[in-house]
Amino acid sequence: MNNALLKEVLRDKELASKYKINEEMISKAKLAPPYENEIIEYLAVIIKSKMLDNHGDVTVYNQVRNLIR
Amino acid sequence: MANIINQISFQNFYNYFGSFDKNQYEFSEGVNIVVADNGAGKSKFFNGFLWIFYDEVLDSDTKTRKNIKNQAVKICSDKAKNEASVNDFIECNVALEFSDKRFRYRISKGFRLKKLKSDSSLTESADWQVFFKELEVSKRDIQLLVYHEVYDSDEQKRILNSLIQPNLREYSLFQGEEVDKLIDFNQADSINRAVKSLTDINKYDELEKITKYVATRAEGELNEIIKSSNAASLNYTKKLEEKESKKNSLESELEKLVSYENSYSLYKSEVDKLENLNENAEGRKEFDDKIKEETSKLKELKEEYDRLVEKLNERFFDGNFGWIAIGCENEVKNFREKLNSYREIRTLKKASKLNDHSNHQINLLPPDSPDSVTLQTMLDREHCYVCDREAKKDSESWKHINSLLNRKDSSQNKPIQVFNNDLNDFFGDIQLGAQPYVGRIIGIEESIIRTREKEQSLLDKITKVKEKINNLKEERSHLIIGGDEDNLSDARQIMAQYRGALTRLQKAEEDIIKSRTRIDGLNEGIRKDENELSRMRPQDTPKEYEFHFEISSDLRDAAQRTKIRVFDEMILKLEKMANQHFQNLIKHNDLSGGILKFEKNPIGTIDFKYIDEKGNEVTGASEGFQRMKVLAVLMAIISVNPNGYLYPLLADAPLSAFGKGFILGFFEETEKVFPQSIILLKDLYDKESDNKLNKLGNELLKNKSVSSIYLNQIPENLKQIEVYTEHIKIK
Repeated sequence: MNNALLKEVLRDKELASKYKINEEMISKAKLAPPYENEIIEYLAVIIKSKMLDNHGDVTVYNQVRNLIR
Repeated sequence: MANIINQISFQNFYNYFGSFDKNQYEFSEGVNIVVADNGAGKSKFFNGFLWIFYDEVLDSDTKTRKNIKNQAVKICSDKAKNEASVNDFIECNVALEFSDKRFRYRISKGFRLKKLKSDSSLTESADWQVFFKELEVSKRDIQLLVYHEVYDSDEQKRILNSLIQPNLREYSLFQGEEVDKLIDFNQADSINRAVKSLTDINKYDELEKITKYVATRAEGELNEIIKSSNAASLNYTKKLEEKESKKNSLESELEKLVSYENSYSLYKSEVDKLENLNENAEGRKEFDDKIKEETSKLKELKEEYDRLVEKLNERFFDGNFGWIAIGCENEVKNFREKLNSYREIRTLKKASKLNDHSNHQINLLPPDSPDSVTLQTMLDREHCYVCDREAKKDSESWKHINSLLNRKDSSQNKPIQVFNNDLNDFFGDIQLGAQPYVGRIIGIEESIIRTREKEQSLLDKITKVKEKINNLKEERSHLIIGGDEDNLSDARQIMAQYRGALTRLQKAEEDIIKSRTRIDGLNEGIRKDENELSRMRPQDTPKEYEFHFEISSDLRDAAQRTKIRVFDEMILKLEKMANQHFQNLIKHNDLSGGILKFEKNPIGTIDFKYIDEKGNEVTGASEGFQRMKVLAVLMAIISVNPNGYLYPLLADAPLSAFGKGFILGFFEETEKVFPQSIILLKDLYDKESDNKLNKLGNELLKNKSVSSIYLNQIPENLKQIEVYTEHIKIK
């Protein structure tokens, strides 16, 4: 289900256009690394942390913040 | 992979007397059926599930679910209790085995019952001591044979909940009419609750919230960095303030929107309720018209009855009926005889008196007969027509005829007093007065019987009309929603309330639309500000934080749009799937059903309508169709979920009395939606058939989607305390 959620958001036209996400990337997208690009990574981390690991909002943000390089 | 119930077994549980191995049912994927006639253990079987999942059983006396703790003595087999000796322990248990893709689990609940007296009552709690056992859970790897006990209570609970999640149990476990309550189409929230429970749509809400939180935190962090560097220009700070102000306005507008949406929900419920009342008011008016018509009939009948009763007295004296003379046949005969006798004597006496009279002409013939013309003819022809003899001229006879012709007056007119008290006229008056009744005497009894029949017929008609009025009132009373008819306004007032509620609903809808427009405007303004701010940021702003914010806000916006898109797509799919399921469910029935219509309402939830081809709302569908609507919508909600449904369907008599068509449709469709179903029903039972299945049961026996069919039976001629259920596996 959470993989389906990830793919559905990546299908958003504006997002896909801006971050050049194509169908192949969407079909391969998953919650676990490695990630094709940063937007998939961001979204996967949020979904995994919130939906799979049931973390609180603050923890989710801290995990996302760790992606800042 | 879905969870599959592999086995359920009972030990001394209700009719399921004896050890587990005697009361063991094996099930697999697909449709599993337990056929049982009334009293052969369907609901008791279902109670096994209720015990496992809810620690409850359905009390057949009160039709309510009761906690198992208070029902122990009642649910233990009567036969086992009867056969037990004092201080004996009886085991009463239910055990269920299920498997997922990796493990097979065994869950057991039970108690022990100790008999305290030799004459213990089978139902009296005080005569028995109950020892409840803890929940027992064990599991084994699906490839292995040995079960291992699970002692951790949290793990036990997790395993139990994994079989059917608590929030899904109402959709997975239902009994008879409970189906109708699964989705209440009159409750706006009911269908949305089912959608939220059975689909993953909630995840999109959750994602929208968390991405919004992440974006807000990312923006805050970026602005903190910019502020701390003191490199921000005045214009940047000003634009930032403008954006903050818009964000505050947005928050305020979002709060208003929530308030408008709450009002909308409130007014929608009001409209729905009044819509029903309004429909009911129209329905009531129809009943009122019928009641009025029947009341008028009743009034006429009562008046006719009153008139009949009033006329009963008159009929005693009315010449057309003459009831007063009933039973007087002999009196009339006696009176005639006596009157004749009296008149004979009187005539003789009169004749004797007339002999003494100067005229000497006695006429014993009736007065004035023969008449003068006849007498003259007799003289002319010299023949007496009275005695039919010759009367030659100047003979004695001829002279007598001549004297009669020449008599001065008839004897009748002669004032001759025969008796001192002559009652001839008195008796004559009686005879004359009684004449109308005398002719009726023979028919009086018949006349009374007919009158009684008419009276009875009127009374019957009055009773029937009264019954009809009462029935109409009874039917009418069911149209009153909210119960108290006295406090309900009349139809006109309801209509006025309905119009008022509609106006309020429309106002709330307009408020929502305006608010959404303002929110869109503010969001657009904020996005523009963000774009401007991104250009105005000091050059030494860390790019990674800028990117962090940008990517977070893009995900926030994408999550928002995705939620709306997925929900819209889901509504379309729901409608398509629900209609497919509905048509399949009713395809074996002669009547065609309407169209199930799903619409997104202004607050972003689903409105449901049942319409005809022309788009008119259909009301008054039969109970069978209503239930099929619920099942079709439920199946559609499950079907739109990409992962399908992972739990079994356990249903007791879900379609009782709905007929073969619905049952067949139900089995065919259930198999497509539920990975496993265990259906308990009597509708396939036929006592006279060789295998005890009726025609439909035998059709299902050949159906590939039906995995197993069990038949429950009670051996014949058993006393109540000896009753136990036997079962055989037919398929």
